Amino acid sequence: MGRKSIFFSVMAVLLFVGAIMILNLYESDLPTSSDDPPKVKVALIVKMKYGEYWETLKMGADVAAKELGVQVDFMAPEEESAYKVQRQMIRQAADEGYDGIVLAPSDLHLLEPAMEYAHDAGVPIVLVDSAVSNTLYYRSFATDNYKAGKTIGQLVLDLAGQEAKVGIINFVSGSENAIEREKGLRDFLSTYESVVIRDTMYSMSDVDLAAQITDFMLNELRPPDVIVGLNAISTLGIAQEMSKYAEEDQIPVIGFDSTKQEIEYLESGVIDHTIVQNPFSMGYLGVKEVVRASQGFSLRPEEAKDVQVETVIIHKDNLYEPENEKLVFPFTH
Amino acid sequence: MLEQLRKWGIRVTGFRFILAMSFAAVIALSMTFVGIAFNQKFIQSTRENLSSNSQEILAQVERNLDTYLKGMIDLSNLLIVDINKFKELNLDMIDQQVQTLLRTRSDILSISLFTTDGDLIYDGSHGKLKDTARVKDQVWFQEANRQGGDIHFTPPHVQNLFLNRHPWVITLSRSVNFRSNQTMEEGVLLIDLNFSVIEELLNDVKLGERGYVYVMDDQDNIVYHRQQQLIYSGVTTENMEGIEDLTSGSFIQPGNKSAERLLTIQEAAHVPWRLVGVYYLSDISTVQQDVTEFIFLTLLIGMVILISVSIYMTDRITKPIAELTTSMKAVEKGDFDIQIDVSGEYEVVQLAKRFNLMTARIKSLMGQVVDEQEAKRKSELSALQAQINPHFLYNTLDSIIWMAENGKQQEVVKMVTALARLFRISISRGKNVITVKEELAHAENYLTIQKMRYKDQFEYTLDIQEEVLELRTLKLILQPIIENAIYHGIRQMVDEGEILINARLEGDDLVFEVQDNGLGMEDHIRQGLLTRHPEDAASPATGVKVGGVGVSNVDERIQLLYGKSYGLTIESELEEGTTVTLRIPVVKGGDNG
Repeated sequence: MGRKSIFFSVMAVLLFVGAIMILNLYESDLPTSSDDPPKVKVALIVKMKYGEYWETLKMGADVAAKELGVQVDFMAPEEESAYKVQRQMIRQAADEGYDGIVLAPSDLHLLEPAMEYAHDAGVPIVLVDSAVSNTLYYRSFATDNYKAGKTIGQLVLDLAGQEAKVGIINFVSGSENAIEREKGLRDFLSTYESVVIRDTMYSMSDVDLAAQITDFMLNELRPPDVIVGLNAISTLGIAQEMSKYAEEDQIPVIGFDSTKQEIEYLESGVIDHTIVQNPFSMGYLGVKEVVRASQGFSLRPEEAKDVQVETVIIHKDNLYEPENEKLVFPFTH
Repeated sequence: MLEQLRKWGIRVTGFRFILAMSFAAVIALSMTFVGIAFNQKFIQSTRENLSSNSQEILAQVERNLDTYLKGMIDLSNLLIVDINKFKELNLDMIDQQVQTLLRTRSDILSISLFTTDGDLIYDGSHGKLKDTARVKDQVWFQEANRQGGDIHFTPPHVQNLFLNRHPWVITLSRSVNFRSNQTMEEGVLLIDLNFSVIEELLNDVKLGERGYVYVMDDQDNIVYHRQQQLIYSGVTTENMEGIEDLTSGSFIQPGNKSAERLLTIQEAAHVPWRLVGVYYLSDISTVQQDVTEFIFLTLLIGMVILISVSIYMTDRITKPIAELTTSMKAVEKGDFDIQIDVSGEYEVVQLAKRFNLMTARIKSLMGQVVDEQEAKRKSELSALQAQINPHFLYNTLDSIIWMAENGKQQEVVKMVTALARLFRISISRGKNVITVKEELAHAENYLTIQKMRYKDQFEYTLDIQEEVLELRTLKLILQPIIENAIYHGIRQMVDEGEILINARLEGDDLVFEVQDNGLGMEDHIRQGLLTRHPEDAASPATGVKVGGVGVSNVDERIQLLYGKSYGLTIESELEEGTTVTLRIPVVKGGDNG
């Protein structure tokens, strides 16, 4: 009896202690379990390292990263036309085990081999800002540049009438965005025979060059009566040059994007209209979608592969209207 | 399945199985019941607590926000005191104050003073008013002027008054009086706040896993939301359905399973703002699931422990019974020496004691039975031995009379002598077992008598191994066989008969053989010889006539004494003769009487 009861007590105590330990394990399991899966890594490759536009896009990407608990690494070439650097970055991201790439492609055709490389490595790509000619991506969120060009065309007519002489400063000759915007603009204006469009000039995304081109245009024999800048830098160059002139000598300027400086010029009346894109949304949606793709989800039938992100025409008087205010000035906490 | 259980030594109808199973069933049922009850109660109370909790949390958030805004109002009061303290507006004094504030308070972006015409009198950040700034058109300016002294907070907006500054702010504005050039003038005080404090206040609020708090103003604009930029960019929207006219309380905003939300609304005190707490109901269900899992894991462990304990207890209770059963089986098979270990609980001890007593009693009873059987056997043996004498005695005495009448004195002497010897051995002081030598002497005396009676109608020969003479044998076993040989084999013969008696060792056995060359017998008679006739045993006088009472008697006696493996065998062939073989064990010396 004695020995048996000792055995019994020991067994009971052991079982009890074991049970408590299991319960404790279970409890301590709860908080740690969320840290267990390795963090999803997303490479955000944009066209250029600097520029408010890309910063805003990155801001959107960061918000998505925070929300989804993923890591977003920002990469970009020093210059906008450096598709070779982008190519290398795409390959590198695929090699370094990134789970997805958000790409703002700097060329319509030339990135295909690198994209194919990433695609073969099983790294999904979501495009933002611009399009490419291949289909090796999961989804794209880009500005409808052709439509934006047409919108500019309408503004040209509104500002300078049907006899307008139009000067265009584009940024990079090979850029899909540049091509599309200009095409939209030209297509729209081509229906008005009396409108004269000068040969497009390229700023190569350099403010000073854009300013020089503006200077050159304004000092021609028959200067244009409206100038269009097809990206932020070209617009800024135009505005910089134009602000040297007295208000009455200035001609209407239509620009693109809404950098701080552009806003200043807009408020002071140098820039008349600017087409504002939504890079924040692109960054946010790009990261969100690429994470979804990396988890193996595919698009539902009602989801378009190519999503057009709307643009808004901003001028001095509607700048601080609540809807536009929110778009133009990215809200930062 | 039952088969399988039985293979493991578990009897479905067994005490142990039934006990263990009922324990397990009771434990499992009650634990499950407790678990379900717990879980139900938990779910119920979480649901009940949720809305009151949300309201409490929100009220707390509102108090914090209130304290913050109240602090801002107090701060503006201080500034107002400074502004109209002096006979002439002292901008240096104010600037000192403001600079300290701007340095220490990171949430205050700018402090400015305007005239009622919208001209900038003072700006703490020394900003330049934009040429295009239309101060008089600003909502905060109009509100401050209209309300006269009342404090106004704007919804978030981009402050677009100053060159190169476009911050998102919440603006506090109020009208102030100041003295300038000896006249009392009115102006507007502006304090721009960034979101850092409000964000801190609201971002730390935990409403489940995914829940959050946002703030809206009386125009249903969002003042603060953790996804403000996403909402501003149109990427996401906040579902404000159902909260339009509510100032406080909570309700459930319907949606699909993961979008079902409990909204709690709380009105702020100093500003026309409303705080909205969002609680995703699916968050509770995750918590509920956690708790449910935990409860059932606990119960499962408890069940395993309790069931193992109950199985152990059952074993303890039923083991003595199982042992008793095993012992009982042994007893059934005749092992009465079994004794059970008398230990354990009171009842078991009692049971074991009684069992031990019972087996002991049975054992003594069995011994008694054996003794009685022995006695009975002995008396039977004596009775059987006693059968021989009268019949033979009568015939012999008859022959003696006959010989005496005919004056055959010599023969009479010889016969009486042989008869006397025969009887002496026959009686042998009441012993049952005698030496082989004595038994052979007895047989020879008998043969002598018979040979004289039958007038030398047969001859006999004894062929005895020297070694057997001193061995022991049951007495009077040869005489009935010889008698049988004479009566059935030789008496009716025409020729002279011959009887051969042989005694020898065969392995561990002692074998006697009585062989005659008489008529032999038919098979059924031969078999009949060994058949017992208990009714005849009672009347031995008629035994001879039937033939074989004597022979079967010998067989019976041998088996009674030595066991079933010993006894008689008879071989016989018509016209050839009969051989009777007696087989008994070798018993040396000693007195087996």
